[in-house]
Amino acid sequence: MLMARVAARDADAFRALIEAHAGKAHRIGWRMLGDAVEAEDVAQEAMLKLWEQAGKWQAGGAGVGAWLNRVATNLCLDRLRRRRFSSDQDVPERVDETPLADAQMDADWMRDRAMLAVQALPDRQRAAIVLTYYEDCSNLAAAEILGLNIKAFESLLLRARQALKAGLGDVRAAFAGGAA
Amino acid sequence: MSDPRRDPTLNELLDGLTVPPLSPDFADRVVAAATHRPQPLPTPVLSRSGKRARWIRGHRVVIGVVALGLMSAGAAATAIFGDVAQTIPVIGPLIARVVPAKHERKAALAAKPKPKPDESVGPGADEAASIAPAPPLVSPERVGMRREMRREFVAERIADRLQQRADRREALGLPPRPVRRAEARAVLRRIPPADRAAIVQRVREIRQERRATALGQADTADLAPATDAVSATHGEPAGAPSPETQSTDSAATPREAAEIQPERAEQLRRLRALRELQRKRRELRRQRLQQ
Repeated sequence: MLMARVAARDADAFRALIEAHAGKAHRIGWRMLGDAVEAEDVAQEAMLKLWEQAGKWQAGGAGVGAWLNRVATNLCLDRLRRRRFSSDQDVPERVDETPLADAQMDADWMRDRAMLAVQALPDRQRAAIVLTYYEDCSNLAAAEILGLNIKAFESLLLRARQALKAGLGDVRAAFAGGAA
Repeated sequence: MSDPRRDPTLNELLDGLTVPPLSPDFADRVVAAATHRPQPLPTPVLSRSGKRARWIRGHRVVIGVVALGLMSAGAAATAIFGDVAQTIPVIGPLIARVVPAKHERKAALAAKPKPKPDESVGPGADEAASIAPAPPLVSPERVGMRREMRREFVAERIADRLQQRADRREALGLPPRPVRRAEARAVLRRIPPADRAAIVQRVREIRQERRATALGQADTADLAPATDAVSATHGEPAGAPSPETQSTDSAATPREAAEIQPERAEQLRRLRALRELQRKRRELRRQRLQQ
Protein backbone atom coordinates (compact mmCIF):
# COMPACT_ATOMS: atom_id res chain seq x y z
CA MET A 1 0.00 0.00 0.00
CA LEU A 2 2.79 2.34 0.99
CA MET A 3 4.73 1.37 -2.11
CA ALA A 4 1.76 2.21 -4.28
CA ARG A 5 1.67 5.66 -2.78
CA VAL A 6 5.43 6.02 -3.20
CA ALA A 7 4.98 5.02 -6.83
CA ALA A 8 2.51 7.89 -7.08
CA ARG A 9 5.28 10.14 -5.73
CA ASP A 10 3.76 10.66 -2.30
CA ALA A 11 6.51 12.21 -0.15
CA ASP A 12 4.75 11.41 3.12
CA ALA A 13 4.54 7.75 2.28
CA PHE A 14 8.21 7.81 1.36
CA ARG A 15 9.05 9.42 4.65
CA ALA A 16 7.15 6.68 6.45
CA LEU A 17 9.12 4.06 4.55
CA ILE A 18 12.38 5.79 5.48
CA GLU A 19 11.51 5.84 9.15
CA ALA A 20 10.55 2.18 9.03
CA HIS A 21 13.42 0.77 7.00
CA ALA A 22 16.32 3.20 6.64
CA GLY A 23 17.76 2.12 10.01
CA LYS A 24 18.27 -1.39 8.65
CA ALA A 25 20.24 -0.15 5.63
CA HIS A 26 22.22 2.15 7.89
CA ARG A 27 23.10 -0.67 10.31
CA ILE A 28 24.28 -2.88 7.49
CA GLY A 29 26.33 -0.03 6.06
CA TRP A 30 27.90 0.85 9.38
CA ARG A 31 28.86 -2.70 10.25
CA MET A 32 30.12 -3.49 6.79
CA LEU A 33 32.01 -0.25 6.18
CA GLY A 34 32.86 0.88 9.70
CA ASP A 35 32.25 4.51 8.85
CA ALA A 36 29.24 6.55 9.93
CA VAL A 37 29.26 8.89 6.95
CA GLU A 38 29.53 6.11 4.43
CA ALA A 39 26.84 4.17 6.27
CA GLU A 40 24.46 7.10 5.91
CA ASP A 41 25.39 7.39 2.25
CA VAL A 42 24.56 3.75 1.75
CA ALA A 43 21.23 4.15 3.53
CA GLN A 44 20.38 7.23 1.48
CA GLU A 45 21.33 5.58 -1.77
CA ALA A 46 19.26 2.51 -0.95
CA MET A 47 16.21 4.61 -0.13
CA LEU A 48 16.58 6.62 -3.32
CA LYS A 49 16.74 3.42 -5.33
CA LEU A 50 13.53 2.38 -3.65
CA TRP A 51 11.98 5.70 -4.70
CA GLU A 52 13.09 5.17 -8.30
CA GLN A 53 11.99 1.56 -8.50
CA ALA A 54 8.64 2.11 -6.80
CA GLY A 55 6.84 2.24 -10.15
CA LYS A 56 8.02 -1.27 -11.02
CA TRP A 57 7.31 -2.68 -7.58
CA GLN A 58 5.30 -5.91 -7.58
CA ALA A 59 3.42 -6.80 -4.42
CA GLY A 60 3.64 -10.31 -3.04
CA GLY A 61 7.43 -10.52 -3.02
CA ALA A 62 9.77 -10.78 -0.09
CA GLY A 63 8.94 -7.27 1.08
CA VAL A 64 10.63 -3.93 1.35
CA GLY A 65 12.90 -5.00 4.23
CA ALA A 66 14.39 -7.94 2.31
CA TRP A 67 14.78 -5.77 -0.79
CA LEU A 68 16.63 -3.13 1.22
CA ASN A 69 18.86 -5.79 2.80
CA ARG A 70 19.90 -6.91 -0.66
CA VAL A 71 20.43 -3.41 -2.02
CA ALA A 72 22.35 -2.18 1.03
CA THR A 73 24.60 -5.26 1.10
CA ASN A 74 25.42 -4.94 -2.57
CA LEU A 75 26.10 -1.21 -2.21
CA CYS A 76 28.48 -1.96 0.67
CA LEU A 77 30.27 -4.70 -1.28
CA ASP A 78 30.64 -2.27 -4.20
CA ARG A 79 32.11 0.39 -1.97
CA LEU A 80 34.49 -2.10 -0.35
CA ARG A 81 35.61 -3.24 -3.78
CA ARG A 82 36.19 0.33 -4.90
CA ARG A 83 37.92 1.19 -1.65
CA ARG A 84 40.33 -1.72 -2.09
CA PHE A 85 41.48 -0.32 -5.45
CA SER A 86 41.46 3.36 -4.57
CA SER A 87 42.77 3.50 -0.98
CA ASP A 88 44.93 1.53 1.38
CA GLN A 89 43.66 3.18 4.54
CA ASP A 90 43.24 1.12 7.66
CA VAL A 91 39.97 0.87 9.49
CA PRO A 92 39.26 4.33 10.87
CA GLU A 93 39.89 4.62 14.53
CA ARG A 94 36.88 5.50 16.54
CA VAL A 95 37.27 8.77 18.30
CA ASP A 96 36.21 8.70 21.87
CA GLU A 97 33.62 11.45 22.14
CA THR A 98 31.96 10.33 25.32
CA PRO A 99 32.56 11.26 28.94
CA LEU A 100 35.30 9.24 30.59
CA ALA A 101 33.07 6.91 32.52
CA ASP A 102 34.42 3.41 33.14
CA ALA A 103 31.39 1.64 31.67
CA GLN A 104 31.50 3.81 28.64
CA MET A 105 35.22 3.13 28.28
CA ASP A 106 34.64 -0.58 28.49
CA ALA A 107 31.83 -0.39 25.96
CA ASP A 108 33.98 1.65 23.60
CA TRP A 109 36.87 -0.75 23.98
CA MET A 110 34.62 -3.68 23.24
CA ARG A 111 33.11 -1.89 20.25
CA ASP A 112 36.55 -1.10 18.87
CA ARG A 113 37.62 -4.71 19.28
CA ALA A 114 34.44 -5.92 17.63
CA MET A 115 34.85 -3.42 14.85
CA LEU A 116 38.45 -4.49 14.28
CA ALA A 117 37.48 -8.16 14.31
CA VAL A 118 34.59 -7.66 11.89
CA GLN A 119 36.51 -5.34 9.63
CA ALA A 120 39.37 -7.83 9.47
CA LEU A 121 37.09 -10.35 7.80
CA PRO A 122 36.99 -10.62 4.02
CA ASP A 123 34.08 -8.70 2.49
CA ARG A 124 31.71 -11.58 1.87
CA GLN A 125 32.42 -13.24 5.22
CA ARG A 126 31.69 -9.89 6.86
CA ALA A 127 28.44 -9.62 4.95
CA ALA A 128 27.50 -13.14 6.04
CA ILE A 129 28.06 -12.28 9.70
CA VAL A 130 26.23 -8.93 9.45
CA LEU A 131 23.21 -10.43 7.73
CA THR A 132 22.78 -13.54 9.83
CA TYR A 133 23.90 -12.30 13.24
CA TYR A 134 22.85 -8.67 13.30
CA GLU A 135 19.95 -8.59 10.83
CA ASP A 136 18.53 -12.01 11.76
CA CYS A 137 18.36 -13.15 8.18
CA SER A 138 17.98 -16.87 7.64
CA ASN A 139 20.86 -18.64 5.97
CA LEU A 140 18.72 -19.11 2.87
CA ALA A 141 17.77 -15.43 2.64
CA ALA A 142 21.37 -14.33 3.22
CA ALA A 143 22.57 -16.80 0.59
CA GLU A 144 20.09 -15.32 -1.87
CA ILE A 145 21.23 -11.80 -1.09
CA LEU A 146 24.86 -12.75 -1.73
CA GLY A 147 24.01 -14.81 -4.80
CA LEU A 148 25.26 -18.09 -3.35
CA ASN A 149 23.74 -21.49 -2.92
CA ILE A 150 22.99 -22.55 0.63
CA LYS A 151 25.94 -24.92 0.95
CA ALA A 152 28.42 -22.32 -0.22
CA PHE A 153 26.90 -19.77 2.12
CA GLU A 154 27.09 -22.10 5.13
CA SER A 155 30.72 -22.78 4.33
CA LEU A 156 31.34 -19.04 4.10
CA LEU A 157 29.63 -18.44 7.42
CA LEU A 158 31.62 -21.19 9.10
CA ARG A 159 34.87 -19.71 7.88
CA ALA A 160 33.79 -16.27 9.11
CA ARG A 161 33.05 -17.61 12.59
CA GLN A 162 36.34 -19.48 12.72
CA ALA A 163 38.22 -16.34 11.74
CA LEU A 164 36.41 -14.33 14.40
CA LYS A 165 37.16 -16.95 17.06
CA ALA A 166 40.80 -16.99 16.08
CA GLY A 167 41.04 -13.26 16.82
CA LEU A 168 39.44 -13.47 20.24
CA GLY A 169 42.64 -13.90 22.27
CA ASP A 170 42.81 -10.43 23.88
CA VAL A 171 39.04 -10.34 24.40
CA ARG A 172 39.19 -13.60 26.37
CA ALA A 173 42.14 -12.27 28.32
CA ALA A 174 40.21 -9.09 29.09
CA PHE A 175 37.23 -11.08 30.27
CA ALA A 176 39.47 -13.30 32.35
CA GLY A 177 41.10 -10.21 33.89
CA GLY A 178 37.74 -8.64 34.59
CA ALA A 179 36.50 -11.80 36.24
CA ALA A 180 39.63 -12.07 38.39
CA MET B 1 21.10 -10.97 18.07
CA SER B 2 22.63 -13.78 20.15
CA ASP B 3 22.83 -17.41 19.26
CA PRO B 4 23.24 -20.03 22.01
CA ARG B 5 25.14 -22.33 19.67
CA ARG B 6 27.91 -19.78 19.39
CA ASP B 7 30.82 -19.10 21.64
CA PRO B 8 29.66 -16.73 24.50
CA THR B 9 32.84 -14.71 24.17
CA LEU B 10 32.20 -14.33 20.47
CA ASN B 11 28.64 -13.31 21.20
CA GLU B 12 29.88 -10.76 23.68
CA LEU B 13 32.28 -9.37 21.13
CA LEU B 14 29.73 -9.18 18.34
CA ASP B 15 27.09 -7.68 20.61
CA GLY B 16 29.54 -4.97 21.42
CA LEU B 17 29.40 -3.66 17.88
CA THR B 18 26.58 -1.23 18.49
CA VAL B 19 25.46 1.16 15.77
CA PRO B 20 25.15 4.89 16.35
CA PRO B 21 21.74 6.33 15.47
CA LEU B 22 21.04 7.95 12.13
CA SER B 23 21.37 11.71 12.04
CA PRO B 24 18.05 13.39 12.95
CA ASP B 25 17.58 15.09 9.61
CA PHE B 26 18.29 11.98 7.60
CA ALA B 27 14.70 11.44 6.51
CA ASP B 28 14.32 15.09 5.48
CA ARG B 29 17.48 14.95 3.43
CA VAL B 30 16.47 11.78 1.64
CA VAL B 31 12.95 13.01 0.92
CA ALA B 32 14.32 16.30 -0.37
CA ALA B 33 16.81 14.48 -2.58
CA ALA B 34 14.11 12.18 -3.91
CA THR B 35 11.57 14.87 -4.68
CA HIS B 36 14.10 17.19 -6.30
CA ARG B 37 15.64 14.41 -8.34
CA PRO B 38 14.82 14.70 -12.06
CA GLN B 39 12.39 12.15 -13.32
CA PRO B 40 14.10 9.28 -15.11
CA LEU B 41 13.52 9.30 -18.84
CA PRO B 42 10.96 6.82 -20.05
CA THR B 43 12.51 3.76 -21.60
CA PRO B 44 12.67 4.21 -25.35
CA VAL B 45 10.28 2.02 -27.28
CA LEU B 46 12.08 0.09 -29.95
CA SER B 47 10.57 0.45 -33.40
CA ARG B 48 10.09 -3.28 -33.79
CA SER B 49 8.61 -4.07 -30.43
CA GLY B 50 5.06 -4.78 -29.47
CA LYS B 51 2.31 -4.35 -32.02
CA ARG B 52 4.62 -3.33 -34.86
CA ALA B 53 6.71 -6.47 -34.49
CA ARG B 54 3.58 -8.61 -34.51
CA TRP B 55 2.34 -6.79 -37.61
CA ILE B 56 5.63 -7.38 -39.47
CA ARG B 57 5.66 -11.04 -38.45
CA GLY B 58 2.08 -11.41 -39.62
CA HIS B 59 2.95 -9.86 -42.98
CA ARG B 60 5.78 -12.30 -43.47
CA VAL B 61 3.62 -15.28 -42.60
CA VAL B 62 0.93 -14.18 -45.04
CA ILE B 63 3.45 -13.59 -47.85
CA GLY B 64 5.02 -16.99 -47.20
CA VAL B 65 1.70 -18.82 -47.24
CA VAL B 66 0.58 -17.09 -50.45
CA ALA B 67 3.90 -17.83 -52.17
CA LEU B 68 3.78 -21.49 -51.12
CA GLY B 69 0.20 -21.78 -52.34
CA LEU B 70 1.01 -20.27 -55.72
CA MET B 71 4.02 -22.51 -56.16
CA SER B 72 2.15 -25.69 -55.29
CA ALA B 73 -0.81 -24.74 -57.48
CA GLY B 74 1.52 -24.05 -60.39
CA ALA B 75 3.29 -27.36 -59.85
CA ALA B 76 0.01 -29.24 -59.77
CA ALA B 77 -1.25 -27.50 -62.90
CA THR B 78 1.90 -28.35 -64.86
CA ALA B 79 1.64 -31.99 -63.73
CA ILE B 80 4.99 -31.96 -61.99
CA PHE B 81 3.57 -34.42 -59.49
CA GLY B 82 2.84 -36.90 -62.25
CA ASP B 83 -0.57 -38.22 -63.10
CA VAL B 84 -2.20 -36.61 -60.09
CA ALA B 85 -2.46 -33.37 -62.00
CA GLN B 86 -5.64 -31.53 -61.13
CA THR B 87 -7.55 -28.86 -62.92
CA ILE B 88 -6.80 -25.69 -61.02
CA PRO B 89 -9.47 -23.06 -61.67
CA VAL B 90 -7.38 -19.93 -62.23
CA ILE B 91 -3.78 -21.07 -62.29
CA GLY B 92 -4.36 -23.93 -64.73
CA PRO B 93 -5.59 -21.88 -67.72
CA LEU B 94 -2.93 -19.27 -67.07
CA ILE B 95 -0.13 -21.82 -67.15
CA ALA B 96 -1.65 -23.73 -70.05
CA ARG B 97 -1.15 -20.67 -72.25
CA VAL B 98 2.58 -20.81 -71.61
CA VAL B 99 3.33 -24.49 -71.01
CA PRO B 100 1.22 -27.21 -72.65
CA ALA B 101 0.07 -30.06 -70.43
CA LYS B 102 2.15 -33.20 -70.20
CA HIS B 103 -0.23 -35.40 -72.22
CA GLU B 104 -0.47 -32.70 -74.86
CA ARG B 105 3.33 -32.62 -75.12
CA LYS B 106 3.40 -36.40 -75.46
CA ALA B 107 0.70 -36.29 -78.10
CA ALA B 108 2.58 -33.62 -80.02
CA LEU B 109 5.75 -35.69 -79.95
CA ALA B 110 3.89 -38.80 -81.10
CA ALA B 111 2.17 -36.91 -83.90
CA LYS B 112 5.46 -35.54 -85.20
CA PRO B 113 6.30 -37.58 -88.37
CA LYS B 114 9.68 -39.22 -88.34
CA PRO B 115 11.73 -38.80 -91.50
CA LYS B 116 11.91 -41.96 -93.52
CA PRO B 117 15.11 -42.41 -95.51
CA ASP B 118 13.51 -44.70 -98.08
CA GLU B 119 10.95 -42.11 -99.07
CA SER B 120 13.53 -39.38 -99.46
CA VAL B 121 15.49 -41.33 -102.03
CA GLY B 122 12.38 -42.53 -103.86
CA PRO B 123 11.61 -41.60 -107.41
CA GLY B 124 8.99 -39.01 -106.32
CA ALA B 125 11.28 -37.14 -103.94
CA ASP B 126 11.84 -33.47 -104.54
CA GLU B 127 15.14 -31.79 -105.32
CA ALA B 128 16.01 -31.03 -101.72
CA ALA B 129 15.86 -34.70 -100.85
CA SER B 130 18.18 -35.57 -103.69
CA ILE B 131 21.13 -33.93 -101.90
CA ALA B 132 23.48 -36.68 -100.73
CA PRO B 133 23.85 -37.00 -96.92
CA ALA B 134 27.17 -35.91 -95.46
CA PRO B 135 29.52 -38.79 -94.75
CA PRO B 136 29.99 -39.65 -91.06
CA LEU B 137 33.00 -38.11 -89.38
CA VAL B 138 34.34 -41.49 -88.23
CA SER B 139 33.95 -44.41 -90.56
CA PRO B 140 32.85 -47.78 -89.11
CA GLU B 141 36.02 -49.35 -90.45
CA ARG B 142 38.13 -46.93 -88.47
CA VAL B 143 36.08 -47.65 -85.37
CA GLY B 144 36.68 -51.34 -85.89
CA MET B 145 40.41 -50.81 -86.19
CA ARG B 146 40.52 -48.75 -83.07
CA ARG B 147 38.60 -51.38 -81.17
CA GLU B 148 41.09 -53.99 -82.32
CA MET B 149 43.96 -51.83 -81.10
CA ARG B 150 42.27 -51.44 -77.76
CA ARG B 151 41.95 -55.21 -77.53
CA GLU B 152 45.64 -55.48 -78.27
CA PHE B 153 46.47 -53.12 -75.41
CA VAL B 154 44.25 -55.01 -73.01
CA ALA B 155 45.80 -58.28 -74.04
CA GLU B 156 49.27 -56.81 -73.54
CA ARG B 157 48.33 -55.65 -70.06
CA ILE B 158 46.93 -59.02 -69.07
CA ALA B 159 50.00 -60.78 -70.39
CA ASP B 160 52.17 -58.35 -68.43
CA ARG B 161 50.29 -59.05 -65.26
CA LEU B 162 50.70 -62.77 -65.69
CA GLN B 163 54.38 -62.31 -66.44
CA GLN B 164 54.87 -60.11 -63.36
CA ARG B 165 53.20 -62.65 -61.17
CA ALA B 166 55.32 -65.45 -62.58
CA ASP B 167 58.45 -63.31 -62.09
CA ARG B 168 57.55 -62.61 -58.49
CA ARG B 169 57.02 -66.26 -57.79
CA GLU B 170 60.28 -67.10 -59.48
CA ALA B 171 62.10 -64.47 -57.42
CA LEU B 172 60.66 -65.94 -54.28
CA GLY B 173 61.77 -69.39 -55.33
CA LEU B 174 58.24 -70.73 -55.75
CA PRO B 175 57.20 -73.07 -58.56
CA PRO B 176 55.16 -71.55 -61.39
CA ARG B 177 51.45 -71.57 -60.65
CA PRO B 178 48.68 -72.17 -63.12
CA VAL B 179 46.25 -69.30 -63.58
CA ARG B 180 43.45 -69.39 -61.08
CA ARG B 181 40.16 -69.95 -62.75
CA ALA B 182 38.25 -67.57 -60.52
CA GLU B 183 40.72 -64.73 -61.04
CA ALA B 184 40.81 -65.20 -64.79
CA ARG B 185 37.04 -65.33 -64.89
CA ALA B 186 36.77 -62.13 -62.88
CA VAL B 187 39.20 -60.30 -65.15
CA LEU B 188 37.53 -61.51 -68.30
CA ARG B 189 34.08 -60.70 -67.01
CA ARG B 190 35.01 -57.03 -66.92
CA ILE B 191 35.81 -57.11 -70.63
CA PRO B 192 32.87 -56.66 -73.02
CA PRO B 193 31.71 -60.04 -74.35
CA ALA B 194 32.28 -58.97 -77.92
CA ASP B 195 36.00 -58.48 -77.25
CA ARG B 196 36.53 -61.33 -74.85
CA ALA B 197 37.40 -64.16 -77.24
CA ALA B 198 39.74 -61.98 -79.28
CA ILE B 199 41.56 -60.76 -76.16
CA VAL B 200 41.99 -64.26 -74.81
CA GLN B 201 43.39 -65.37 -78.13
CA ARG B 202 45.78 -62.43 -78.22
CA VAL B 203 46.98 -63.00 -74.66
CA ARG B 204 47.75 -66.55 -75.53
CA GLU B 205 49.74 -65.51 -78.56
CA ILE B 206 51.74 -62.91 -76.67
CA ARG B 207 52.64 -65.35 -73.96
CA GLN B 208 53.67 -67.91 -76.48
CA GLU B 209 55.88 -65.39 -78.21
CA ARG B 210 57.51 -64.33 -74.96
CA ARG B 211 58.13 -67.83 -73.81
CA ALA B 212 59.56 -68.73 -77.19
CA THR B 213 61.96 -65.81 -77.04
CA ALA B 214 62.87 -65.96 -73.32
CA LEU B 215 62.93 -69.65 -72.56
CA GLY B 216 62.97 -71.22 -75.96
CA GLN B 217 60.01 -73.37 -75.15
CA ALA B 218 56.30 -72.94 -75.43
CA ASP B 219 53.94 -73.62 -72.65
CA THR B 220 50.36 -72.74 -73.37
CA ALA B 221 48.76 -74.87 -70.76
CA ASP B 222 48.26 -72.29 -67.99
CA LEU B 223 45.74 -70.02 -69.72
CA ALA B 224 43.69 -72.80 -71.23
CA PRO B 225 41.58 -73.67 -68.16
CA ALA B 226 40.54 -70.05 -67.62
CA THR B 227 39.63 -69.63 -71.22
CA ASP B 228 37.66 -72.82 -71.15
CA ALA B 229 35.91 -71.75 -67.99
CA VAL B 230 34.90 -68.40 -69.39
CA SER B 231 33.77 -69.84 -72.64
CA ALA B 232 31.83 -72.48 -70.76
CA THR B 233 30.16 -69.75 -68.69
CA HIS B 234 29.21 -67.54 -71.59
CA GLY B 235 28.75 -70.15 -74.24
CA GLU B 236 31.30 -68.75 -76.65
CA PRO B 237 34.16 -70.50 -78.37
CA ALA B 238 37.31 -69.40 -76.55
CA GLY B 239 39.79 -69.12 -79.30
CA ALA B 240 37.52 -68.03 -82.11
CA PRO B 241 37.54 -64.37 -83.01
CA SER B 242 34.33 -62.52 -82.35
CA PRO B 243 31.87 -61.96 -85.16
CA GLU B 244 32.34 -58.24 -84.75
CA THR B 245 36.05 -58.56 -85.37
CA GLN B 246 35.39 -60.66 -88.40
CA SER B 247 32.93 -58.15 -89.75
CA THR B 248 35.29 -55.20 -89.19
CA ASP B 249 38.18 -57.07 -90.72
CA SER B 250 36.14 -58.01 -93.71
CA ALA B 251 34.61 -54.55 -93.99
CA ALA B 252 37.98 -52.72 -93.98
CA THR B 253 38.99 -51.75 -97.46
CA PRO B 254 42.53 -52.56 -98.54
CA ARG B 255 43.35 -48.89 -98.93
CA GLU B 256 42.29 -48.03 -95.37
CA ALA B 257 43.99 -51.11 -94.00
CA ALA B 258 47.15 -50.00 -95.72
CA GLU B 259 46.80 -46.56 -94.10
CA ILE B 260 46.13 -47.80 -90.60
CA GLN B 261 48.49 -50.77 -90.55
CA PRO B 262 51.78 -48.82 -90.25
CA GLU B 263 50.34 -46.60 -87.56
CA ARG B 264 49.15 -49.59 -85.59
CA ALA B 265 52.44 -51.40 -86.03
CA GLU B 266 54.32 -48.34 -84.82
CA GLN B 267 52.14 -48.01 -81.74
CA LEU B 268 52.52 -51.67 -80.91
CA ARG B 269 56.26 -51.44 -81.36
CA ARG B 270 56.42 -48.50 -78.96
CA LEU B 271 54.24 -50.24 -76.46
CA ARG B 272 56.34 -53.36 -76.52
CA ALA B 273 59.54 -51.34 -76.20
CA LEU B 274 58.03 -49.63 -73.18
CA ARG B 275 57.04 -52.93 -71.61
CA GLU B 276 60.48 -54.33 -72.27
CA LEU B 277 62.06 -51.31 -70.63
CA GLN B 278 59.82 -51.71 -67.60
CA ARG B 279 60.66 -55.37 -67.37
CA LYS B 280 64.38 -54.61 -67.45
CA ARG B 281 63.98 -52.02 -64.75
CA ARG B 282 62.14 -54.49 -62.58
CA GLU B 283 64.86 -57.05 -63.05
CA LEU B 284 67.54 -54.52 -62.20
CA ARG B 285 65.64 -53.53 -59.08
CA ARG B 286 65.27 -57.15 -58.08
CA GLN B 287 68.97 -57.78 -58.60
CA ARG B 288 69.78 -54.74 -56.52
CA LEU B 289 67.50 -55.98 -53.75
CA GLN B 290 69.08 -59.43 -53.85
CA GLN B 291 72.56 -57.92 -53.61
